[in-house]
Amino acid sequence: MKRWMCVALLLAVIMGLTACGGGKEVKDSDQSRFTWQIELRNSEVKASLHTDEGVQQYDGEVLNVAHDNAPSEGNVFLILTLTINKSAVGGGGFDWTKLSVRDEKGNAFPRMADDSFLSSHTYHRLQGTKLQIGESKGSICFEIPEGVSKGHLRLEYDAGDEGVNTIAIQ
Amino acid sequence: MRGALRILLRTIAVILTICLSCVVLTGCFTGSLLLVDLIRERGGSYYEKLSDRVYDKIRQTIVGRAPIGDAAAQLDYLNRSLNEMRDAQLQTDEMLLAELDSSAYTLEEPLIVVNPYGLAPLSAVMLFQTEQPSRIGIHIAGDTPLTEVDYDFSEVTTCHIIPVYGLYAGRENVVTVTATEEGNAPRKVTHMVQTDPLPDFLAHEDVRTELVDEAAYQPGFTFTYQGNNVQVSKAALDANGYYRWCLDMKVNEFLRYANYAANYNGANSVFLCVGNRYHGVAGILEVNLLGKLLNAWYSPYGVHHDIEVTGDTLWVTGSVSNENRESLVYALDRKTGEITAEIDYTNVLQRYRNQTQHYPEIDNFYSFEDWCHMNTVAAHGDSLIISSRHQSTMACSDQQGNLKWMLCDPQDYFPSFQRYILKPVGDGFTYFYTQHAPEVLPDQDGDPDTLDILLFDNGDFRVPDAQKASRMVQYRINERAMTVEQIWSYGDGVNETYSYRHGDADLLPNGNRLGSFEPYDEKADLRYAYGVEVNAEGDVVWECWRASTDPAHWYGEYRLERLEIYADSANDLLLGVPATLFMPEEDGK
Repeated sequence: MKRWMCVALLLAVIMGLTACGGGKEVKDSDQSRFTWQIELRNSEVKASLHTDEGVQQYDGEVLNVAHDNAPSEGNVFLILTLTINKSAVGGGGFDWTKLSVRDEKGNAFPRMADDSFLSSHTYHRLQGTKLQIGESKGSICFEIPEGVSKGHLRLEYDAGDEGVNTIAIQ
Repeated sequence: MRGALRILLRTIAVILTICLSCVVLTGCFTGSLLLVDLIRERGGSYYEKLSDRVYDKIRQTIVGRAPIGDAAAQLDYLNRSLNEMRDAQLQTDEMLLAELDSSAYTLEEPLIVVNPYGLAPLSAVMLFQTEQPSRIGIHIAGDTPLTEVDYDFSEVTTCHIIPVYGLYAGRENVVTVTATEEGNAPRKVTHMVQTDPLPDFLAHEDVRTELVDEAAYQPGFTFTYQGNNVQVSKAALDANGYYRWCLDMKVNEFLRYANYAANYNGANSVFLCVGNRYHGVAGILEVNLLGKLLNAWYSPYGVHHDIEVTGDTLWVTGSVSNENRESLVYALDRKTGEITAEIDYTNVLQRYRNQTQHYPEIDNFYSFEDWCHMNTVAAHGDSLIISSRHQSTMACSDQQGNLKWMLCDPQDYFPSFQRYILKPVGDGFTYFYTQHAPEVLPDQDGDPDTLDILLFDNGDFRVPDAQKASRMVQYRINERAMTVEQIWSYGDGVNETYSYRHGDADLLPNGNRLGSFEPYDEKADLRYAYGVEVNAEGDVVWECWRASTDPAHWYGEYRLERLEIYADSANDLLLGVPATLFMPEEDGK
C-alpha cells in the first residue's frame, strides 16, 4: 500500500512538472506541409546599425561614407536571415503581409515597409515584393519594442488553407 | 503519521534526484551543441574573412587604376563570377519555365515575377497560357499620357513570356494586357504590379524636370550612364523625371564593380564592363533589360570609355600598357570572342604633343601616360573615327590605322600631320577642346562627299581669357575637299553649364538634339547632371537636373540616350538559354 502510494505520488508530480514546463515552448511547424518552406538561419537584435563604406571616386580616391540607421525610440531592429523555398509549382506567391513576428502575448509585428537600408549594412536584403519562384535567401527587418525582443518570439506565416507556418525565433 | 511523512520525504528525494539527473544530462547535451556551433561559427567566419580579404584585394585590383597583384587571379575571379551568375540565372529560368509548363496561369491570373534575376527592380516577367494562339499587347500606365508605355508583341502563341518594362518604383503599377485571338474580340485584363522602393543609389537623388514643349518632345525614356564611383548603375527616366528602369548592380558582388563605360544598343540589350579601366583583365558583359546575362567577352586591354556595337564586332577603347593609357582601339568578334584588330594610336597620332603647355593657369590634366585619353570610337563604313580628349583631336583612319583626316586645332602638330588636318570654311567656325562622344549622323545634305558629326565640346582652354562654356556642335566634313564647316551649335557662351569632363550630344529621330552636361556649382561644391533636349532652332524642349544628396554618390553623368524601352529584337527573353562566355582557358588561350 505504501509502495503504491509512493509510485502514484511520484507519477503525479512528474506529470505535473511536464505540464507546467511545456506551456511556453513553440514547436516549429513541419515545413513539408507547406508550399512555401521557411528556414530561419539567423536572428539578431540591434539597437542601431552603423557601417563604414569605402566608395571609390572617379579620381581613384576612396571616400569613406558612414551609413547609420536607428529604429524609433523604445524599439529595436529584429533582423532575420531566412531561406524561403517554393517546394512546388503553381499556387500563390509568398506574401510578406502574411508574415509577422508574434510575441508571447499574441501581438503581431509585420516586416518593415521599407527595410532597403539593410543593403547599406552588408546584409543581402530580400526583396519587398512577393516571392514567386524558387529559393530566396536573405535578410528582412522588423521594428519591435525593446521589451518584446527579450521575450519568446515566433515567426508566423499565414499560408491560407495550409495553415500557419510557425518558427521559433531563438 | 510518521510513516506517511517518511514516504513523502523519500518521494521528494527521488523526484529531486530525477530532476537533477535531467538537468545534468540536458546541460551536457546543450553544451556540446553550443561547442559545435562555436567551432562551426568561428571556422566559418574565419573562412569568410579569408575569402573577403583575398577577394577584396582582387576586387580593388580590378577596380583600381593600376593593376596590382596577379592577373591570373583576376581572370580566375572574373571566370568564377561569370559562371556563378550564369548558373544562378539558368536556375531561375528553369523555375520560370516549370511554372509556365504547369498550366496554372492564365491571362486573368498570370504569374508575375518582379525582378526575377535580382538586378532590375523596376522590371518583371509575366507568364501565362492562352487556350488559343494569341498576340499580346501590353500597356503600363503612366502619370501622364506622354509617360505611358504601349507595346504589341508580334509572336502569336499559346505560351506567353512577356517582359514588363517601365514600372514605377514603390508603387502598385497598373498593367493592362490584351490578348487577341484570330476571329475574336480582344480580351483585356488589368493587373496590379507592386515594386520595391527605388534602390539606394537612385533614392538619394534630387531630380527636377521641365517639359517646355510636350508636343515637340521625342517620345521615349532617357537612358543614363551614371556614376563615377563603384556604385555605378544604369537607369532610365521618363519625361517627368521618374526612374522607370534600372540595373541595380550593387546587389551583385561582382557587377557592383562595373565601370561606367557601356552601350545601350538601342535598348536591345545593355553592354557593361567590369575589370581594369586601364591595361589589364576586363570583361564585357551583354545583358538584357531584366539583367539576364546573354554573353560575356574577355579583354586583356582593359575597358574605359567606349564600347561601339557594330554588327558582329565590338570596337572598344583600351590601353596598351599602364605607361601608355587609353590610346588603343581593339575589335572583339562577338561570335568568337577573338580580338581581330588592334590599333595603337601611339603610332598614328603625335604622342608628345601637349596642348596644355600654353595655358599654365589651367589644371594640367595632360600626363605622359594619359597623353591620348581616347573616349570614343565610332565606326563609319570601313573607317574608324576616334576622339582623343587630351589632344582635343578627332581622327579618322582605316581599320589598319592609316590616317584619313583629323579635325582639331592645328597648333603644335608637326608638319607631317598638317596635311591631314581639315581646313575650316564658312562663318562662325570654332574648334572644339577636350571633346566627347562624336557621333556620325545620317546623311544631312545628300552630298556623298560629306559627313556630319555631332559632338560635345567641353571647351577647355578654347581661348584662355574667354568665359568657359561647353556646347553641342555639329560639323560637316567634306572628305574630298578636306574641309570642315560648323553647321550648328548650342550652349555657346553659357558658363553655367560648362562641363570640364564627360558630355554627350545625340541627334534624335524627330530632329531635336539631346545634350548631356555635367556642370559644377562652385558655391555649393556640387557637381550635377543637366540633360537638355533642344530643337534645331536651339529652343529648349525639355530639361532635367539631377544631383546627389548623398556624399556616397558624388555625381557623374557620362552620357544620355533617348530610347523606347521595348525593342523589337529583344522580346525573346531566352529563358533556359545559358549565357555564352567567351573566356580564355587557364593557360590564357
